[in-house]
Amino acid sequence: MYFDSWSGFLAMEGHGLYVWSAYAVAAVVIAYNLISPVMAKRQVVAQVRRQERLVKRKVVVNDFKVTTDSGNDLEQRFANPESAQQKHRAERQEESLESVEGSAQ
Amino acid sequence: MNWTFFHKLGSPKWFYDISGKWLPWLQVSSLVLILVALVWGLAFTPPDYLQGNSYRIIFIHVPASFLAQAVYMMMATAAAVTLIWKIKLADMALKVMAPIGASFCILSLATGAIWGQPTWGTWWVWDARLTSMLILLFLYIGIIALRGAIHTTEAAAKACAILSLVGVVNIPIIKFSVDWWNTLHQGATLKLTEKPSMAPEMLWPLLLAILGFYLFFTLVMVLRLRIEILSRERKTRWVKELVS
Repeated sequence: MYFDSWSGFLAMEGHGLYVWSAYAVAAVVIAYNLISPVMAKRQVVAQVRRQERLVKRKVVVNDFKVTTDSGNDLEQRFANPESAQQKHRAERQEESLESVEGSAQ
Repeated sequence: MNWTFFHKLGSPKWFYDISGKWLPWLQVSSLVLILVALVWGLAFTPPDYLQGNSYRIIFIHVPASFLAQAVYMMMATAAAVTLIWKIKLADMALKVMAPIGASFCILSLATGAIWGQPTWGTWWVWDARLTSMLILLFLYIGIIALRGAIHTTEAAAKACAILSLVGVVNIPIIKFSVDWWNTLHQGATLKLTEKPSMAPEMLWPLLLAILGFYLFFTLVMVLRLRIEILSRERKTRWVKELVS
């Protein structure tokens, strides 16, 4: 031990303020590095649990949709709008042909 | 050559499992080494003939400065691995190392300023070593901010990797600044090629402190990396089972 007493150790022959404040900054940096992973872990665990609850709720909603919409003609049209349009156009052409034939008679 | 170890290293789950076994060893060794080194350095070493007791700041200033630069080099290595092999774990390491490196860079600058007041008579000068360390801090902050600004994980990984690699140019400038522009900051005390210019009773606690700080860095880096793994793999079954 270099110093004779506690007060001598704290005073560091006049340099105490500098030495101890430097070590205090080091303590803060060490504490930050130890605390921030703990905080981050809490956040991630909460996030995973929230996500799981949401997924469970979504599954219920999807089941409901499947039972009501299944077999609906609308769904098929929206699933493939192009073919639905073509079908519609073909029907209109048939109608107009019929009307032309009717006027000729 | 068998490359399976390389792919294993890239697997987040494998790393999560194996790193859990390292934690107790890292905790005990870093705690013991830092405590022994700092108590030794503060209370048992004799004062410097020129600087008196203020030199005792060296036992945190030098390890913090070493780490600030070493962490940056590790980040640059992780950046290269991210760009070349697209290993997710490397990008996670790059992300979690940035705030740790920044905190040690702040510690280095703060302890340096506190040490400068009784030794040089000023907190701060625009000396080459000090300025290049400040630039290193800005690089750390820039990398953290860049990741925060980009929302897609892949795009953020690429941008941060490129910025980390560009910033490497600053590391040799820091290292050689005391030789190129010899102004106020003293030259290197520890050199690999020469005998250290320091008495052994001061050198030993310093070497222990450096080792202790490195182990402490490894500990907090692994802690953060494990959490980052959980966060990015949160949609996988193993994380869900682990958490719930």
